[in-house]
Amino acid sequence: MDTTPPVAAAPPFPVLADAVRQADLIIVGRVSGTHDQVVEVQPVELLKGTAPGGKVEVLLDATVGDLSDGVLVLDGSTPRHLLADPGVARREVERSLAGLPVPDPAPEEAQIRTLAEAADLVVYGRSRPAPGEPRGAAAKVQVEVIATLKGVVSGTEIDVARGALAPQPGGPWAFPDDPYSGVFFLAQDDSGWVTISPMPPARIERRSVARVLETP
Amino acid sequence: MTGGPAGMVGSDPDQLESLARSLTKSATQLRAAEKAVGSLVKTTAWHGPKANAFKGQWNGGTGAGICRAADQLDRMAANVQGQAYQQREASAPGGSAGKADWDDPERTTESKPWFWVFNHDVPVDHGLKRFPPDGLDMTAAPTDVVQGALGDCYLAAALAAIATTPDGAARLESMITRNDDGTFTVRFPDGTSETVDADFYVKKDDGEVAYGHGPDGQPNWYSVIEKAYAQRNDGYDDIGDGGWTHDIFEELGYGDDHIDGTDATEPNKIWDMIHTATEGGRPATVSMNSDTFDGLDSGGHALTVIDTYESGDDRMVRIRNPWGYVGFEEEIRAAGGRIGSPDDGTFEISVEDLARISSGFAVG
Repeated sequence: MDTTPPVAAAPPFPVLADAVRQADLIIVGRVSGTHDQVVEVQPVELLKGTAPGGKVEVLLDATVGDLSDGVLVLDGSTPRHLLADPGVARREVERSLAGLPVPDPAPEEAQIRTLAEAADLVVYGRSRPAPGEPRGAAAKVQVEVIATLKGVVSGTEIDVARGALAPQPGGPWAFPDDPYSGVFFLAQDDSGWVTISPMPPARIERRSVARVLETP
Repeated sequence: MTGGPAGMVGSDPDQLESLARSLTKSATQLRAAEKAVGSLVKTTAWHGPKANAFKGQWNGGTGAGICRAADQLDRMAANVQGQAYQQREASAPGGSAGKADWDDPERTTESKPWFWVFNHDVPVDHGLKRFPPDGLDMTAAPTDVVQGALGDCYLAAALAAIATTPDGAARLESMITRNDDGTFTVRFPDGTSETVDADFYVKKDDGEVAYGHGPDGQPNWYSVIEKAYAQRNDGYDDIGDGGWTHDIFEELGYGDDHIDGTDATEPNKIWDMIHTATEGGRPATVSMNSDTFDGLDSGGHALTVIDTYESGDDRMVRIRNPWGYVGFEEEIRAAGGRIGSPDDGTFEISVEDLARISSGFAVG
């Protein structure tokens, strides 16, 4: 017999696509003060809505423990309530505003096959940003190879750069700031290994790729 | 010649901004009217067939249509504001379409509002969402599962876990039959079935996201199974009161192996259980509660084990929150977790760190 209580937590925020649709105001803001559970935010940039005259007041409630500088998705009440996780990535908001899927869609089976055929090397590995890469915008990583799914690689660590991507709202994806696993579909060019997938490697599940590659 | 008085190309930004304000004001008035009438529709003591027909007409589209019109006005306002901004920037000495600074002392809201408006045609759909069956995605993947506002994380986490395995994804898809009359029949392994209609009210009529859906806010196979599961029990409210993932595994024809209490604090025991599961193509979930995890003020939460891997001395677990985003970011990082980019609801954590914040594990 179970001794633990049933698990039941419901999400405090809607999916970002809905939050962006519902938002009265989306800003990039700097926190300038807090009083009585209300945070004052100085808008730095407006992403949706009408520019307010001065500072924006945001309510801190049970859902929002704290607030820091960043993108804020807000409703039209006074003070305003957050509609999305504080600190949501700007790229994701801009993609939502443009009607693009958030997050970048994981590849479907046919896409995995196409990528695998086009790739010189497919590895499952864990990446960390190369030295000097900016936080939140890393375009080069060092990949610790955990398994090679196609091709041959010498050594257990390779340098990988993000390959060319078509321009899109929100800009290109970035590699995670933290060490993180993913599947890297790679081609070799003059500078070394570059990704060829339109989505970030962290969005590609090892088990999905292995399943596709094992099936003729 | 392009529009306007002879010889004039472009526009007066002051007039454009005035037009934008009028459009925004009209949108606000429309929404207020929709809200007021919607409230009256709910609370007016009027019963019988004609009342039902009226309420059905309102809930079935009239109210949502007013909201759509308001959204359209907002979009037009945004575009007009953007035009005004661009016009002002282009007219300024050395002007360009670059971004202005909110801290610009020259800027005042009355005389020189600052706009940086995306001219994207933002898709909108306020109010009640009601979906026809043909648009439903029936190909099961774990990322399809986004929990609504119900407290049924145990169902969402377990279904996403099943969808991580090839056999599981096929099993979920085969449970659902689309009928000629537009309904769906969901067959459970115990031989019972539930037939649900094809209306998926992903949102309540107050706009709150209510029931399960995909990351795009649209219904999918998960919405169908959740609805059938609610019908199989005593409705959405009943299944929204919480439960256990191992019960879901069992109901869907899997085993119900699970550990909790002190067993769920031993990394080696946890690793043996969930690594064996992921390597063997079996679904797995992890639970946390307010006693073990600072991110929860009360109660508990169930999440999906997406994968496990070993790298050097590290034994790592990739976990997905069925909310569709990580949530609890600060607490996850404080516990030693690593969050990916973009936020797709997943994070990675060593089994040692996971053992400190988890309250239970289940394997199907």
